[in-house]
Amino acid sequence: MTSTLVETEDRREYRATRRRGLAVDLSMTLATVLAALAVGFLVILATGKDPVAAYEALLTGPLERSFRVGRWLEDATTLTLLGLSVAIPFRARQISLGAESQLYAGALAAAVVAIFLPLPPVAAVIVPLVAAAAAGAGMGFVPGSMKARLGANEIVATLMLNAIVVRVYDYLVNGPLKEPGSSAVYSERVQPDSVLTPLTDWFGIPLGRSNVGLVLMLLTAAALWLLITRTPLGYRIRMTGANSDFAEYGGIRVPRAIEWSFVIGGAVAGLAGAHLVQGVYGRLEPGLAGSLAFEGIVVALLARNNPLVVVIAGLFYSYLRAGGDIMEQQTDVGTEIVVVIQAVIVLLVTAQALPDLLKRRIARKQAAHKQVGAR
Amino acid sequence: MSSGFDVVLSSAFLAAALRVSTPYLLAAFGGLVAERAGISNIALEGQMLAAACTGALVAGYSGSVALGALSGITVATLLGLLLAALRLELGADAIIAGIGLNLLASGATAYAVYTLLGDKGGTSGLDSGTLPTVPLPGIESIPVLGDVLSGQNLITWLAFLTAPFVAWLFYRTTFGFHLRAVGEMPDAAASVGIPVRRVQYAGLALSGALAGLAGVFLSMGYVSFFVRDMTAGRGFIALAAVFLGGLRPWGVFLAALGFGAAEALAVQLGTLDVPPQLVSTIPYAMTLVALALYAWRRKRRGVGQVAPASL
Amino acid sequence: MAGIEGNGQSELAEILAGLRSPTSGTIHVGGTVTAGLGVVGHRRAGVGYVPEDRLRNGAALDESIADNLVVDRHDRPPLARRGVLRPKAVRAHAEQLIDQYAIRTPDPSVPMRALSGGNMQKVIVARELSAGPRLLIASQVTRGVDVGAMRFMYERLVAARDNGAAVLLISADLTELLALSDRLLVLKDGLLVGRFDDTTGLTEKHVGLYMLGVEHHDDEHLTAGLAAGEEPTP
Repeated sequence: MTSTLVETEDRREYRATRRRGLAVDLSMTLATVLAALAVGFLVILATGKDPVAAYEALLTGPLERSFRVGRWLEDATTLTLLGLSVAIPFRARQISLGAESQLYAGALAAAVVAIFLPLPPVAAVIVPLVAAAAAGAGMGFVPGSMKARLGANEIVATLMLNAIVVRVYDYLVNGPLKEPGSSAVYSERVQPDSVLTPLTDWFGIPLGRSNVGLVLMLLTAAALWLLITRTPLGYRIRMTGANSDFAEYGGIRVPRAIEWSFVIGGAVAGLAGAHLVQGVYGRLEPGLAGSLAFEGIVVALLARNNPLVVVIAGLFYSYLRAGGDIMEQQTDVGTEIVVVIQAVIVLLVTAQALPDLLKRRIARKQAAHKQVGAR
Repeated sequence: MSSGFDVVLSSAFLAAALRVSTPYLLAAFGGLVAERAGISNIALEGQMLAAACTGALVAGYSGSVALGALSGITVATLLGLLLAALRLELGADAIIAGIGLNLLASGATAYAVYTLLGDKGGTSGLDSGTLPTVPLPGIESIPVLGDVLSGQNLITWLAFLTAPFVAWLFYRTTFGFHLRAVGEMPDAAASVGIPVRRVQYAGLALSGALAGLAGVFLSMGYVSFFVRDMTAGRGFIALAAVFLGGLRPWGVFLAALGFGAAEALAVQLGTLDVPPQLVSTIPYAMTLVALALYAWRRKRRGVGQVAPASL
Repeated sequence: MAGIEGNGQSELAEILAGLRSPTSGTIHVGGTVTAGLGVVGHRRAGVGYVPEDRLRNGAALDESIADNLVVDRHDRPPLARRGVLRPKAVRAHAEQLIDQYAIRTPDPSVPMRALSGGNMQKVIVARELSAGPRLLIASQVTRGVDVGAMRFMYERLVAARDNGAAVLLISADLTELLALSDRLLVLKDGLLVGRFDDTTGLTEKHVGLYMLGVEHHDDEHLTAGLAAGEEPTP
């Protein structure tokens, strides 16, 4: 009887194999990051700068002062939320590039409520958050249902929606929502009750603009992990992503699972927008998100779309971003090198044949070892 | 709305429409070739950006516009080949690898410009020149036609010639037949002896080269310098044109031209009392609606005729 | 159900399982008319389906055996309660089926991809039979399956029949059909061309003539004992 290697193992052996597989995955991820950092190092060297000084600033800078830690945590909160927002559609194997539109829609919704709607203290924080999540979810629903119901390409749909929402946002910040009587382009500040409490108030040390949004982000990650692993909807999203033909055969309504993945992802990106408005800037500013939306994709990828790992990846990547800025201030190496490092990480992570090659080699060695032992 | 009409019919608008359409046309054809070869090239944006930057830098330092343009196109071609290699040799997801290449281009160009020129913004401090424009001696003096056609950049002419070229390539050459076969049915193509990988590499190289030409136009035709992230999403819009055009050369041509014209119109209407940001959303909103209608029609008709690589 | 492949067997199976909608005609399972019910409705009406291409839609290869075993019942007690999936129950469910159907694996968390063809097919058959179907459509159950697993499948199919399920066995293997079937139908070009209510003494050669279209039964014979319009042609 023919059988595969796994079938011949007993439970103990299998667990050991699985642990080894996990160890390989983990070390591959670490190796990926190190390789990307090495590439950055070489690029700096090749351009005639001092890579040691640059990396010292990059890697130790963010922890040197408490407000730098704050800067890091504030960035990590937004970035992780954005990573989470794409990780969910990615689980359904939907390439949603719409985090940008969802974030801006969320920011607008949060700002409008937090600036103009008088609310009692606690509700003043929560209602704008809910509004932002709803607006983001709505922005997710459009490409989601277009894909699920009509089969319209989700990449094009999300990109178009980004282009539209970014322009509408720009118009609103420059026009109707602009602070009256001000020459600079930004909205009025949100009401004091709507502000997400700065962490500085909690810990009594200056932590910049970081705020309770961090806690909100951690809770969101935990909730999404539970959703994916512990709910029927999460199961349907996973099966849809693993093999949509199988999901359909099994009685799962695949379009609905796809739609939900977009809506949930959109809501989370909306929260990222609210975090920027209620926590970081306290108002709407032009180009609020920068390039964060696309960088969220990197974070999700690095974490293999596991919500809990997204947190770690988000913290790591924001650390690099924060370090990059410090590096640029302290040395003559541009912070853009961080984007190059990030790009190399993406390319290495998506080159799936690499870890598989390694795993297969290890498995082969083990099989050979076993045969020798049997003799 | 009579003022709007005047704008549309003015020769300045038509000339601008041709100019603005140029990068869309070239990049969209780049996207089309890749898509039909079975590998989505979402890295169009990065390839354009890398070409724009390389072109301006090389031209500025060497003093040769031609050398600059050639280097730019070469870099974009290499990025196309890199995408193909990641997909074919290392099993990478083409979309994600494309996102990675876009990031790489964005970071590397900004880093290079900052390192070489100490300028965060771009290469405006560097005198790199532009590619030549094409005067049309006979037509120049004809009132409207002369203003529209004469004095367009060389690359604009190339862009418009790309449509018949790609149509000819797809439907009249063995390579085109192989390319389409590989994209639609890779296994069947391999079984009849078509060198699948080689065709895909060639397709992605051509795709990168076209995107590179688009990028070179931006920094050496449209303007005469490189600005950080100057592609501003044009690669993505071009990709939308690929799908909107139904993955067919003339359809893509019309879609890309439409985007160009709409953008030129938004710029021209900016002089009127309409918020320019809102006007400029029109082509994207139209695309979104068209995408939905197209998908709906295809769904009603049953299976799509040409399956995009990314699905 | 016999027939040379590509003569409508796959389509018939998918229609019966609710994966395709019929252009005309109605299908009754027990007392339920399944038209327009979708896959869920078909499954609820008691239709089980072992698909002909297990790699395409029979399994999610990168997911665990446990997850593959619950695709049709993941949202119901005891596996899910109050909108929460219970991992312990899912695991226990998998352990039980692994035991009952002699699936060879060290653990329910093993991904399907790691299993051999016969073993993977056992997971699928386990899932479909444990749902207690009134009608089981078994398409090419023994394709690419080793001898041991093959015999196991046969025993299970016969046991299911003995427990009162209607088993529609679709196969390219005529020997298998003749050995297992109570009644044999032959499909050619999407149409029913042969019906043998008693398979004892039937030879492969004889059925083969129907499969090739050399011979066919007349309509009266094909539909004998059925109400008008109940001919199961796709």
